[in-house]
Amino acid sequence: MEINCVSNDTAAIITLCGRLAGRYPSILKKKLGEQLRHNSRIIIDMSQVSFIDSTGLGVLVGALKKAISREGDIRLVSPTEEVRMLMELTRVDRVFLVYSSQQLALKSYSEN
Amino acid sequence: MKIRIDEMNGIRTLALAGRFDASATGGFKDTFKGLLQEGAANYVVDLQKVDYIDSGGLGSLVSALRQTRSVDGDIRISGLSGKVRSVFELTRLHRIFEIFDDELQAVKSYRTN
Amino acid sequence: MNSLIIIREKHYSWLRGLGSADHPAMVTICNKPILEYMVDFIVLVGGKKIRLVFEEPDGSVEAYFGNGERWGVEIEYGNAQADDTIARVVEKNSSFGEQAPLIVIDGLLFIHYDKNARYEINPEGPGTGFLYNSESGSISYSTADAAERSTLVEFTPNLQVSTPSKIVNLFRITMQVLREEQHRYVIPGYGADKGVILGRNVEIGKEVKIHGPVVVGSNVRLLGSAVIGPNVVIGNNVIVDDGAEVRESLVMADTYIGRRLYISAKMVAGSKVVSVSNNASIEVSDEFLLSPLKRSLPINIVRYLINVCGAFLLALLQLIPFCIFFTLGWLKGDLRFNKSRFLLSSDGQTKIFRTPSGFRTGAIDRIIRSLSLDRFALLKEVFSGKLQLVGNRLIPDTAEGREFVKDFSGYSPGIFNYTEADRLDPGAAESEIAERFYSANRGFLTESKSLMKALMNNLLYNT
Repeated sequence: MEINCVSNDTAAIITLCGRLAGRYPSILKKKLGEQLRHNSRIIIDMSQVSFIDSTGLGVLVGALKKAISREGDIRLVSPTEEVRMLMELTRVDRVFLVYSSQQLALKSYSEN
Repeated sequence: MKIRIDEMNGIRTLALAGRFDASATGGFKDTFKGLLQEGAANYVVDLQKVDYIDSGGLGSLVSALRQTRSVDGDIRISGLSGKVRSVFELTRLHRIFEIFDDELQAVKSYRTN
Repeated sequence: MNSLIIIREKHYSWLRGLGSADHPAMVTICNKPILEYMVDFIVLVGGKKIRLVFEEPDGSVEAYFGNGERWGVEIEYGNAQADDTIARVVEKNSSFGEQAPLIVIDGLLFIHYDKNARYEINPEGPGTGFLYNSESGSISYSTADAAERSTLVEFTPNLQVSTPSKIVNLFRITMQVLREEQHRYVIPGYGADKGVILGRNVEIGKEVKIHGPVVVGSNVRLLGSAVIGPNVVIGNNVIVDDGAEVRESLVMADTYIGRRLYISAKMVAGSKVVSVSNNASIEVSDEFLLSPLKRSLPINIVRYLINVCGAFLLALLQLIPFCIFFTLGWLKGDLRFNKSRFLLSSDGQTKIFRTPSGFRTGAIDRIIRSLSLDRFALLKEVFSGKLQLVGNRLIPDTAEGREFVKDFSGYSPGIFNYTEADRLDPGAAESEIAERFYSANRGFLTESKSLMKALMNNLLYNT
């Protein structure tokens, strides 16, 4: 899975591409940890994540808690239907704000 | 195993009775070979009175079917029930044989083919 | 009146994707096989004898219906080919008599009958007519003295028939039965309070909340503070763990629903979740979230012990010859081996085994084969349970092999196999017949006989 980071003043945008499973959740955890030290407002673009397992979900939730403790947030963009279903099953969809595009997610931060 | 040979509407019928096991396959193969040499290509084999059939018996039915198919003929089965039907289904023979309740219908089916 | 119910693969095979081990005609609506609804309907309209005609039969249907005693009818079983017309099927099942009227149900149909209604068939004279006819199937009725004309048949009251072809259709029919039509059918289970039907052996935790209408199958455990309903059907052998919430959903048999899971407007089977609103589906790989509950097949201890003893004895007998001849063969450079991957079971497990290749050069090689010493290295697999001493021919792990084994639920490979015991050609139909036949008729005597035959054949035909 590929992880791309783009930072700007409002928030850091992390784009994920591939399967968030196997060894990738722990790689993502490190990356998110690093990002949170600079910027506690993060946007994760999920539109190209084809599959996520419970460890992957756990990493997202863990990072969310850290972000919130630094008065930030992690907002998600366009999770695929499959990912969305897993999030609904595990009730994780209730703790994340989800947007249909990066712009809308950015806007949500700047309007705050 | 007893084999009764008959003819109905021009189709040769074989009514088998008893145990169709390894000891009966030789007799069946010889009988069938003889019938094929007489020229008939279409047959009905009635298993109503067969109370046991094993892989040898099934194998010789399949071998006979192959021989008839090679002369554009067929073997249709009638009188399949109970344990014999279970064994047929288990060895997937229901896929390659046309199965009828009774001999007469099986014979008639050649006409409407 | 007699009835034929024709079960064709073209109508039913899509149900095989749901992962159940039973015949697709046993798929349940509110925990009752769809085939049983058809049988109930025939009984309701006066049928006395029913024959279930299969293109692909399997034991699960016969095991459930038996001879029909439970329903007060005679149930028999028959076969049909894929391209048989209804007329042909009737011909093949001719002992069903020209004496009585005949109803033929052809297709995957859910008939929305009412057990409290009276149904009458009023044909306008002899012949054959349709009570229902569509691309997905038909219900036809022939009078006792039917010729081949088609005359009008009236059926009062009017019949509504659903023809499910997708999972969402099954879901919709289930919800319709659950919400509006429960009183029209005999749904298995015992009515608890308003709109809740429970099967046998259901364990419900003290803090579990159930909001009807809900139908629960047998051998179900609802744990902790789980919440079930409204509008939920739970199949047999299901565990819903603490804190999970299931609403507006169908949980199929043999499923484990993990803690705190939230299931709404879904159909769940094993580890597969299908959303009924948009047909999206996912496979959940985390077993603690959602997983299939395997009905554990009892491991036959006696069989295992007999295999182990036999393997041990054979190993003892072969040990010295093995050492002598293999060393000689190795020194002479006469030995050739192939390493290949073979299938161990019908659920896809595989293992790499070394087998002798086809060369027969050299006297040493021949002696090794005649004493079956080439199997010596495989004997240890009996101890781990991976192979039987005598069993099916090992099928290689190829696409063809996997197809074959998927279709062969009794596949149990052995070091010595039935094909070689009977000296059959492994590629021929006779081999497949023997393999299927013997694996269904296992017994100590027959297996010992096969082992002896295999050993003797190796001895006689290799020297």
